[in-house]
Amino acid sequence: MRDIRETEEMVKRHLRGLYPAEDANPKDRTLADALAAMRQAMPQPEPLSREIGRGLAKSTSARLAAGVAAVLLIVAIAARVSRPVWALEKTIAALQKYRGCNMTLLIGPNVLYDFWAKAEPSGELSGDVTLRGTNGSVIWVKDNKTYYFDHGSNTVEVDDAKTAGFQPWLGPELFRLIAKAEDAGTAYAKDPASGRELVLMTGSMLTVAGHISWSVEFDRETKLPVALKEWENPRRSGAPAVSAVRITYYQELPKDALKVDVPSGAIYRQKPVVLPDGNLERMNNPDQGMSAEGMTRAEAARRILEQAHQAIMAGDLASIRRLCPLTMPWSDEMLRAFLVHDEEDGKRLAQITEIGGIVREGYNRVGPFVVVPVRLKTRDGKLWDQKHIVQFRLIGGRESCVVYGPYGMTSEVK
Amino acid sequence: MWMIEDRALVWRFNRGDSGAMRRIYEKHRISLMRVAAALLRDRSFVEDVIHDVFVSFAQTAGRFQLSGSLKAYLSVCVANRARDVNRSQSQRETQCADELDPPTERPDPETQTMSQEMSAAIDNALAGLPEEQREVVVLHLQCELPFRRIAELRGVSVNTATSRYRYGVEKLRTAVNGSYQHA
Repeated sequence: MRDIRETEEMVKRHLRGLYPAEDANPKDRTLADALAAMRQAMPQPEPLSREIGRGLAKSTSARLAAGVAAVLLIVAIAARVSRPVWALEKTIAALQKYRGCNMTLLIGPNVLYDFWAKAEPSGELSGDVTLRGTNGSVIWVKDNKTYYFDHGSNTVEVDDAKTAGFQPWLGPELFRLIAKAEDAGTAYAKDPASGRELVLMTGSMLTVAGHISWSVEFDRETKLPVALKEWENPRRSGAPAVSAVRITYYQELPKDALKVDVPSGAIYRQKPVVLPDGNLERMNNPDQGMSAEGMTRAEAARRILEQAHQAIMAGDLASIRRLCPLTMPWSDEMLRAFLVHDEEDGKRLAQITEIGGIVREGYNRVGPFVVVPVRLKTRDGKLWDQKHIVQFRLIGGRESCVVYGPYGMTSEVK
Repeated sequence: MWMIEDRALVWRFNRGDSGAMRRIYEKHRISLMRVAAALLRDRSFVEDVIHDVFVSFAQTAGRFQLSGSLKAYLSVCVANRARDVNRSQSQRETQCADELDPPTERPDPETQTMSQEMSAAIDNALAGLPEEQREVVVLHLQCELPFRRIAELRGVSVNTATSRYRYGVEKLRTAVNGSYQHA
């Protein structure tokens, strides 16, 4: 005879068996419908976590990340031809010696951030970063991880990648890219308060996330950029999404500039990888991607990343577009300029050194996705680490996958 | 720890953070599916119940107030919705008994480790419990809700909730022992 406790255990086992975790497969529409219902219910659609993260995650510099190494996707720039603009060479020369900066950033309508950043030793990429918001939030990058501290809930969400900062670094590469904007314009002005002579440079470009436009103020004497603004439209209309209202440069950052004090008891947890809805819509084209039938997700991810990088090395633009749907709107010229690179260019991809195993998995309305690290070597002999998102989908009952793009920024292997 | 995470999630959810909604969904959906499967007379409605509960919950974004645990709240929502579905099914059954689908058979690895007879005995015994006893048993054993919390959520005294549980488990024990002896 079984006693009450045994009976309870048997009933628990029975209940667990009604829906074992690995078998439970609720309707795909449930989460999508819940998210849609949530969006409709919210009086203001701007969520806090986006607000604190968007400034750098979506900043001009972050969007320019594709210029470095063989980052698959981030930026589309309208043309390669440089126009006669403000003497950026002098700015580039002036910036060479600085490895750190401090900015006052206004992100969204309300939140000011004190932003400190230092470059990686190569001077091409952003390294450690700290942002302290007037709302109590803190964002920092350390050891290729990004931490988002939310003051209200005393929680820290951790991204296993560098998702805040500049790529390229606020230096030569960034301004070379900015100079290539097709509609680059220059104006001269004088600040009546300080008497300082300024040069205002404007431009716009098409990124995978849509059009952005900017204005950058240069001090005419020092040649250094002293303020910048970015809009999420091509016309610089409305309020900027991000404004750097003051920029100071350092050869070495002050001690403790990057130090972060998180209150004791803060809860750390992994930050979910959320892909923008607009991009997800482009992941479902049955004519793109690679069949994943008969393969594990790890095998399929490895194979499609191999194929995509081989296509980059070979300059096979059709295969790049087929495997990486977000590159579809790019012209041939843009793909060659910012992904493939010229034969002689040191940034041209030379070798896929290593493709690792799955480090993260997730699920969105298209299907499951995985994050896989890749190590690449460019012609100049440098090694780069990237993480890539491979999106799986089920179309017509058959599983296939596409390369979504990088998860976080590229890091140079020291 | 889990409750603290839920509070943070609800805080973010109320600010329209879709990542929080995803996390809530992924964290609780399986447990809620088990609750629905245990309470529904026809398990083909499990996914509909889960869908309705999550969509209704999402519609409260920006004004949702959590008192107690989120799991408890969502579990009771599922129990309420399952009760509604069972009632509407009963009415349909009365109106057109021939049109009803047969109950869904759901063999699975875990129940297969129990004897099929035993599993069927528990299933039948659960299904045979009065609705209020079945709810208390499922909410307590599957969702680990304390009787005090179940009593609050159901608007009954703690003694009533405890009694319902005790009667329910006794009946289940009888069914399990019957099956055991039979085996």
